[in-house]
Amino acid sequence: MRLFFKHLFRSIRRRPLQPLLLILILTLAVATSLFSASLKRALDGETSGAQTARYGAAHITVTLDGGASSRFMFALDAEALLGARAEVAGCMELPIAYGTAGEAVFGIATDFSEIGRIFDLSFSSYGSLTPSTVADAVFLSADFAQKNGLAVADAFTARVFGKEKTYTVAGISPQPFIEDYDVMLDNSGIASILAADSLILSSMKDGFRPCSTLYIEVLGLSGASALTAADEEKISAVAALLAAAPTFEGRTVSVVHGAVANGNYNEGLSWVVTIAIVLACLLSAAVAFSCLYILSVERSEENRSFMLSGARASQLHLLQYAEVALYLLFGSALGIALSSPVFRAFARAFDLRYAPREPAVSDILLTVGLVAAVGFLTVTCFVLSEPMLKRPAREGKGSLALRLCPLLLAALSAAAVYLLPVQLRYLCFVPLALTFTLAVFAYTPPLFLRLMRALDRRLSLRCERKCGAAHPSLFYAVKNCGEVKMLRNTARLTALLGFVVASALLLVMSSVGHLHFSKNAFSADHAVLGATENCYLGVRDARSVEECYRVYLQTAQTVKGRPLLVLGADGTEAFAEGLRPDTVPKGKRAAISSGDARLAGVRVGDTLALTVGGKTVEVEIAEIMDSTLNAVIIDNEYFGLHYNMIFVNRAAEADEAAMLSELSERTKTELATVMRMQDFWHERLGVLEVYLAAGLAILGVVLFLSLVATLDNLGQSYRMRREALSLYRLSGMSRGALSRMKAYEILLSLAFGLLIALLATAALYPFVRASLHAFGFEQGVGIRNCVRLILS
Amino acid sequence: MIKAERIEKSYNGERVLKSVSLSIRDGEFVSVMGESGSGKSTLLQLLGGFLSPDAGRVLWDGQDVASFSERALAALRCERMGFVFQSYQLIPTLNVKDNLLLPTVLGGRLSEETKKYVEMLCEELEITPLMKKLPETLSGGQSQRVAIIRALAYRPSTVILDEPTGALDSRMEGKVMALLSRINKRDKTTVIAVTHSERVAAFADRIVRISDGEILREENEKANGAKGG
Repeated sequence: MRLFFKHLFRSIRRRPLQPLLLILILTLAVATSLFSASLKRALDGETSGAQTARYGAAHITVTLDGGASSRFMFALDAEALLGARAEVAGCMELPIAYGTAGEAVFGIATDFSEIGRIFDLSFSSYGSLTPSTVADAVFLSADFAQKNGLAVADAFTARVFGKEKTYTVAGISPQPFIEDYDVMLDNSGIASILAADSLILSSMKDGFRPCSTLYIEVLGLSGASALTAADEEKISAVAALLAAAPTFEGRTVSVVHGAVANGNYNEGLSWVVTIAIVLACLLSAAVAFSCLYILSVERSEENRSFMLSGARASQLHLLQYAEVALYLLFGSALGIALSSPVFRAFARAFDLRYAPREPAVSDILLTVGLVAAVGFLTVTCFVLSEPMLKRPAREGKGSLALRLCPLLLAALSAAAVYLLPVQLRYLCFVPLALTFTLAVFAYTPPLFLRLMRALDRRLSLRCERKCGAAHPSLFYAVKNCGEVKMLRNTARLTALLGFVVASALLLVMSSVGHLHFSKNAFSADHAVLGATENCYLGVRDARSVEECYRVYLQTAQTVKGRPLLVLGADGTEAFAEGLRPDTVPKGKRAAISSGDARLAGVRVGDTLALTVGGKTVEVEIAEIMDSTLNAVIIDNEYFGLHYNMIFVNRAAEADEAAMLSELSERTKTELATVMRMQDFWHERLGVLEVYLAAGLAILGVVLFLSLVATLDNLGQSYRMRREALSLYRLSGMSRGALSRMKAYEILLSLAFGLLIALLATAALYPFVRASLHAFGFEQGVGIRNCVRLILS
Repeated sequence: MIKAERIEKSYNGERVLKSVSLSIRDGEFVSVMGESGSGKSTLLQLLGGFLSPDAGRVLWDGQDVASFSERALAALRCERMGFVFQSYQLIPTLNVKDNLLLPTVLGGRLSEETKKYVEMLCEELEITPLMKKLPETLSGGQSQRVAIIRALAYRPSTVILDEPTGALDSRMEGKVMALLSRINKRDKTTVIAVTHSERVAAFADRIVRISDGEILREENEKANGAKGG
């Protein structure tokens, strides 16, 4: 054995470039798989982190409704009602203008003494805070403090509700407050600003601590990581108590535990990312297979010489396994080392705040195990098939059933999409990805061979007729493409890589499209939340406002427990092009997006029961919209659901800070919250953006791996064919003609691979899209729209 | 005319050819003989322009092969010279027919006449049934015959053969040598063949004997034959 290992190390030393390239490819394959697998864990961490940051330990929120008779909502009322059953903290969102240029930031006013009951606040630095200074104290996020050069004990001047006030920085937090807010004030200070314009409020003094949202943690639960049925019952009981209490009439009571994680888009995109991860891992496996197979083919010549010299097959096979193990060892170590900084860079680039930033040991074991298994499987396949390799591999071997197997499997998984109920179609994602990849793997080489042979026959006939090949380089390139296994493998690898990249690109584009069109479903640039009729009148008459619409927007539950966006508006103008019903429905009538109609199994004329704002309403489907947003549009006022926000478009001549200042002043007595639409959507769809970032990151990594793997494959295959190619030179082919021939070979194999990739992607996409129906993805966001969006 | 002027060649510091000079007239049949490792094949490859001499020069019709451009060398290989390698050097991915026609196609001189000529050569050397086969499925003798036909296919003015009959049985050896002799006489094709076989060498006009990288002597075979006759 010593002799064999001596041979192995000498052959590595003699040509070090090949092992180095192989290690590089294995490194990239491990890094890609590990990065992709870590992303999934990071996304889950980010989702649950965002949930914790947004809702803290709260199980229930109570928010102001447009139709509430009183705008005053107090945490104390909830505490009085619930007693020892719950902890309560109240908050109010507000725009804050600061700086000489009138920059605006959104802040949150809370009671400093109670916010810590629900939210786990931490500070990187903090100063002193006494009862006498609390009304003038402000907490800042580290980003905001750094951007504005503020430190603890610095003075911070801002305009709140049109009044200028100087605050002292009392603490700096590494994270924004309640997920999104850079500034946190004590609401006793807010009360004093509001009291300046109101005798009633000024008489209430310190006891007046208004809130627009109450966060309620139900106490006495089991304490298990997931809620038990008894826990959920307790939470529902508290929610019911709040909804029924006269103090909270006209408020919206929502159970928020797991709200972020259970959103239907989240679920859909989570699956999309899972497919992308599966595809990335498959790609890494295919790349590892391809590279190690080339190595095995190359070693087989040497093995034959050893065998003829008396070596036993088992010794040579052990040598092959040892060599692969050696490369896998280095490749895995480097891959693990590489994935860590890449992942940290991704987390920094896409502002992952809560996700773990290091790969988990289980992911490392999984991905290294995958690549190692592929490596050893490749050698085993080679060892088992080695006797056959002595003869040229011909197409058409194997039984018809075996050859048709990948096609049948792909057809079965495609058929299952339509055979399963819509709600279960997501189960087809992984089988679809696997079987289509298998089909591309199995059929690309024989198809390429047949096409090239047919082309060869045509060219030969033409050559014979015209007595001379017009382009000998092309003529021989076609012949080689038909005969050289390496070129068929290149076509196969290109097809696999192209298929994975194109499929992932389509999925990501489709998801980007959904997100984009969702965000642009309304024609507005700002929103006023918790808006009353008085708010509407105030906003409508604001100089800085061009147009405004009253809107009802709430998440409802269908009977099947699926979340569904319920919308109402006082005119179709409120909706943008992608979500515009023929008319705003009146009475019991409702317009529903086609995806949701499909999922709920309703048609025009059917009745659909929805639980919205604590009420159950039955709507009659009057229109099915081919929209770009999952939603049902109802006549909310008919059901006693008041408009809860106003969508606003800024006048062209007004700047944003001026408009925010005017709006906050005009709505201050109504305790309404003004938000930019982008922040509004970020609050609701922020997690989805992280999913998309993950999809894009996987795509980028996969694309990089694909390019490197293709180049390496081509390089290796030409190195192996060096001798055969030199014979063309000996036969009189000029160097230029030989280069052209190689270029044609590359072009033909890459073009064919890409063609197969595109065809396979085009064949797969309708089934994936049909599977996405499980999440109600809308028809309106077709791939054509997404391409148009990206091009624009 | 092909002329080697004081050519020298070394591999890894070991001199394989030592100041060899040789002139071959157009239409001449020359056999190069010598022991294994004496430098015969190296001499042939230098004459064919496949190797460059370390010293001296090889002239084809008065032109130094070392001064040939890439294009001129390619033209030499697929228009003027046919070369049969000791290891045949058939292209593994092309079938026998494609291998035979390769230099003709590359030279842009594929014609009905050429095809008929190739078919005739194939008939003569019993290759016709093998036209669709790939080189790796051929025996040594079959490969050697294919390599010979490929070298003759485009009727080059010079054919250089390295051990052209080493893998052939005596019947086929006779056929090949008859063919080479015929094209030499009828078409005035220059034939230069390395061989170990005295029987093969006997077809030549002149035999060049090499030993240890030097020309030992040149024998005029026809004159010897005439004397002997």
